[in-house]
Amino acid sequence: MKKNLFLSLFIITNIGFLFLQIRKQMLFIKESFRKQKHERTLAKLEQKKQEIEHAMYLAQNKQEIKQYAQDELHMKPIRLTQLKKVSP
Amino acid sequence: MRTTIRFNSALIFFSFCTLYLIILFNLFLIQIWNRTFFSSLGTHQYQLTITQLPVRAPIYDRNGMAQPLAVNKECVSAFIVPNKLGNKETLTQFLQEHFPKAYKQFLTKPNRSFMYVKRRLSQDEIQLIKDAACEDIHLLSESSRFYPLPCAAPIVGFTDVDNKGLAGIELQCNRDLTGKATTCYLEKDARSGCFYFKKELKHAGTQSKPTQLTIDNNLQFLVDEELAATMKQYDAQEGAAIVMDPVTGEILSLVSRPYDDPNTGSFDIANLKPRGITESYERGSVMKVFAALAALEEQVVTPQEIIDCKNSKTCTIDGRTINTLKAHGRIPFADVIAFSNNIGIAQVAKRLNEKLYEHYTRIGFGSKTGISLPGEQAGLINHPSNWSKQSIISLSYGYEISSTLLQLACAFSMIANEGHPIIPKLIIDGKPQEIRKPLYQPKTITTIKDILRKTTKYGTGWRFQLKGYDIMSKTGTANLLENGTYNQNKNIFTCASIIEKGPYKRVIVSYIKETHTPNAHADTVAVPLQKRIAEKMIIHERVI
Repeated sequence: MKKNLFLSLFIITNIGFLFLQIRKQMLFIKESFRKQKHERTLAKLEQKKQEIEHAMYLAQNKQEIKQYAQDELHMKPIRLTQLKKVSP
Repeated sequence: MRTTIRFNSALIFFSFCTLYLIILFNLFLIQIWNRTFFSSLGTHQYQLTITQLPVRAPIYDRNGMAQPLAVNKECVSAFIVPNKLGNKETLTQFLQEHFPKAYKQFLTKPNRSFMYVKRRLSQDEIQLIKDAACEDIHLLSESSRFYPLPCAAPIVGFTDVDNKGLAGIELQCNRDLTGKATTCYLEKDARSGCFYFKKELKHAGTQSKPTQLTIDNNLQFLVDEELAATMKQYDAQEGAAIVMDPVTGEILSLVSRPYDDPNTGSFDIANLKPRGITESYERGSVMKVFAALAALEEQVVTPQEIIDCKNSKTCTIDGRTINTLKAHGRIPFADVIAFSNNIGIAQVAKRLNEKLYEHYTRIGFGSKTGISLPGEQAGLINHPSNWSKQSIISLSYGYEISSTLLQLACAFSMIANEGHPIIPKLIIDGKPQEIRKPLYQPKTITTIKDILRKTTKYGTGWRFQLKGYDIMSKTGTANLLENGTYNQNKNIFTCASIIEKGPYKRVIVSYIKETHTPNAHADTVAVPLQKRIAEKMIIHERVI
């Protein structure tokens, strides 16, 4: 009787460990896939960020900014003689 | 009845046995007989070794991340897999019509496993491919370079289609900017190929490192604007300007024109040279400063010594004719430099003879400055062994000696830096400028500075006066050598100056080459340019 019980327990424990091992592996693969999905999203967002940055650098064109300031805002380049130093 | 059951049982038994035997035979074929083939097929489907290069690092100006000079942008390339084509006819027709180059390439090897149709496609080309809906043409996203400040392109350089540096800083710092590739071993899922089960690092690479330049983005733009305006005003062929900190040796601006925008994709490489470094010319009278420096150091002359400039625009010394722009009579040596009289300096240079060559080499002419930029020229000084009777005369006012604008900037920096020579810097590396032994006595430096002040006060640099700032300048107009003779109508106008206000010190050098304006001289072309650059620089740097 004792022998049978021991054998049953041994087999059940082994099956349990096997189940846990398989479960662990499954969870690992599942999480790994999720991580990879996030990595892909990150890559896409990085690409989008680069596009936005590129658009920003295009908008920062100094020649165009100067043109806009002169034409639209009626600003003029300053000369050194026009500056006055006010001592504190 | 019993026999039938037995027969049926035997039949079923043997059928199963046969089936098992077939399975076993197949297993034998797969597992043992064709083991290598199936094993490699499995490996090919499941295992993958990928080599990934890090993203190419950006190049920043001295202000850091806010002002990049080179960044990455995504671009699209088109490719085909010639040995796996679905509709060959449609593809060839499309390529022949819209991408004839790729079509020709395709015909040379129609069974290759990969071929680019075109890299870095324009928006129109992407749309064209999308509209064609040709299933055999695939689009691929790649990284390419974008240069936000095109006028900095001659320094920054450019890359090829594979993002490998080909010129300028992109070439010089290619290793740091690229980094080292990382190799990984992947076990991917064979069905979608999108995911992997296992990732193993085979070879760890290194991250790419950004490069920070000493260039000031805004100052670069301002100097370029002034250079462009002057070149337009005088219809000039070429021009360059350098702004430098003479103490640290940092180059704040290095502009050259004409230049092409490397973002356009089609540019002339010759127009992306930093001309201030790659072009060496005979500079004319601006070299009188160094002839004077040598004469004062060797004590063959004093600033007060009266020199007879013959009161003529032409004079003959040792059978050689010397021309000068304006006639001067008996004037002090300091005024010989201030008024840039060729007859006066030639007489003093004759007292130096071969020592003049030694002084020019000591200052750094004829050798590279040590800047970390490819393509630097060393210039040339006629060696005394090759001298004719004319040589010492010519060398005294800047002929038979060619130099780059950067060499001139370094030489003026040496004067501004109390005789200590400097190595020009273009990359911020955290290392301070090494303080080297002064090349000239402090007394000589003080004297030459006084002479340069006089040049600005009442000499050839009189147009360059800024109230409240200590300006020391010298100009030079030189004829350009064409087919072995000096062309009187083709000139190069150079101006070099030191600007000081308290501890603030800057050196500006610039040149304008080949104007189409008659009777132009450095004092009318290069000096006003220099003054405008100085004004912009002072306002920009808020040294008011």
